[in-house]
Amino acid sequence: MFFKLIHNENIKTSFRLSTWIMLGLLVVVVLLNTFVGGYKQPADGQADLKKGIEKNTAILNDKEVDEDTKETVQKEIAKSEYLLTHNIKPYTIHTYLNDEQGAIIFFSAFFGIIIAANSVASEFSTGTIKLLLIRPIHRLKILLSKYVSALISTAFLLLLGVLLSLIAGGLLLGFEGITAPHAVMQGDHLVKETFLYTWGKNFLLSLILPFFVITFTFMISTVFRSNGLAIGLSMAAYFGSNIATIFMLKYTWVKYTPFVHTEYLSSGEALIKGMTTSFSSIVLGAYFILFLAIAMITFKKRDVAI
Amino acid sequence: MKKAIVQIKDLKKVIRGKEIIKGLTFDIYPGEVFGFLGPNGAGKTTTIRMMVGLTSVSAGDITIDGNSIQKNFEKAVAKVGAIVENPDMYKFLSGYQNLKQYARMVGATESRINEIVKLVGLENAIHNKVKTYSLGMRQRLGLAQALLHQPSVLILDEPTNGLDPAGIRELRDYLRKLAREEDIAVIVSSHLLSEMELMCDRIGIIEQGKLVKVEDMNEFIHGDNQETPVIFQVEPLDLAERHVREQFPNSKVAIKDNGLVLSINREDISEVSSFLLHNGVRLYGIQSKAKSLEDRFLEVTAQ
Repeated sequence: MFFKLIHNENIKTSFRLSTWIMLGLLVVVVLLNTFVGGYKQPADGQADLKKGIEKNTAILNDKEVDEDTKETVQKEIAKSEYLLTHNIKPYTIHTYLNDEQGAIIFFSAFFGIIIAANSVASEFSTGTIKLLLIRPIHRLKILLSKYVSALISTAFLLLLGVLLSLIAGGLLLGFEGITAPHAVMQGDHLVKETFLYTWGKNFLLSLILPFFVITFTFMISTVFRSNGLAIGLSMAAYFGSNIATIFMLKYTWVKYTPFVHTEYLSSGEALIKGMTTSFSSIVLGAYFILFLAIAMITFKKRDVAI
Repeated sequence: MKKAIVQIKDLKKVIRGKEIIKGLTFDIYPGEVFGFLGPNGAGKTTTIRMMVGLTSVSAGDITIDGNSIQKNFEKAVAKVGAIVENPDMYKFLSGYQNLKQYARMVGATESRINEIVKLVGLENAIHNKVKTYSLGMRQRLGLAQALLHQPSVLILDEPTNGLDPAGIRELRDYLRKLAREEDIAVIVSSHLLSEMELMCDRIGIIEQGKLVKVEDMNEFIHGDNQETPVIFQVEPLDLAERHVREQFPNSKVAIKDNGLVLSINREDISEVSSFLLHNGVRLYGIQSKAKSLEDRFLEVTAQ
């Protein structure tokens, strides 16, 4: 029964015009980046690395360059040398896929927010909620099917973006780079890792914030029955969270706000001292449960009078 | 007497400290068309919303086929098909896709959908998007979704809204047939009293959250109150009025459209006529005005 409910929700999403606009937009953005991004696989990567080192060494010796830049340059040199000594070939598709990753997550999160915001609110604004809730099905099942369906739709968009950029990137820059090794920082030293593995891991970790915000959107949509409010607040949370968090860093209670933890879990960057994976998971888990509980309680108790 | 399918016991609804429904108690039986009447804001729709679980019950209970809507919602509502106010459907889906949505939730088969589409006469438009439908077509689609799972109780809020005269008649006949042949209890709420008079077997009148009357339609219209207005076409009018007022001081007397109107029992018509003739009044015609549901409704709700 639950799968049938999810199926129903998926059908509703797939028949909305806005879904197709979003889908089209995602495809256009991914392909636009592919073909006008100016990506080109170098003829001889090793030679380019050597040239790069020479150029960067010159910058290091320049007295007018500030310390910060020198530090970045130092790191670049170290990486290039590591690649040369371990005989790792540099691939442009790595840069390409990293760029695409940001775009895909950005658009999918945006679409996920819109889908989650519409899911409950639009049933109220069009009055269709009445014929939905007079079926012999518990209200919470209906609500959860909507939540799961919103996540599935978002996952579908993500998957579409990933496949599209892997195929388009592979056709443009060659497929071999995808599974080739590259160098990544682990702690304070470089290690060799398969690119697809690193990329996939980063991708999944970067989904923590969208997942969290979409759940938040879903709660707002359920509680206030307004898709505009849900979209507005969620966009503010998604894009403004980092700035807001930076302003709150001086207070001790910042460790209970969600966005220091989404940042820590996805990028490993600790904005405050004493961050641990388990503490961050607990705080985010608590928010997650709180959001769903609020949505479920209000939906269960609501008197439908439209 | 059949066993009641819907039992409403001391039903109350409080919204923000204000009692909207103040203790309704009545039963509805299989095979009857029950009309739910009342002025705007009396609480008809609120009661219907509680019957289908859209709104919570503040006190009392509603049971459908023995299952409480509060404690056993899924089982209770499984027997109910309803349209609450407008039949709002997904406009970006076709009529058929809408029905498929509901069919998945109640486990109705494809052949049942086709059967019901034929029944409500939407075969030609069922694959068009609902946004292209007229209000009458949406009512038909609403009826289709309500009947999809073969309910024992059919609740229709203002079902004739948007239907043309032929459609109204068709619906009326169809509802009566459902009640007679399939033993479904049909609950209809409407403002159209002439329509209700033709459609319903029994009516319940609700006013300001209270049940004013639950009665058989015929009894209600013609029942306890035997007096009906009778118009006497007489001449001279003033003389007749004076005599009548003296002779029958307890009757209601009025002059309307050049006729003398008396509210009297049927048996008294002959007595009044002969009295008038004996007092030198010329009598040209006598008309007994039958009461309609509308007259009775206004009488009852005006109290």
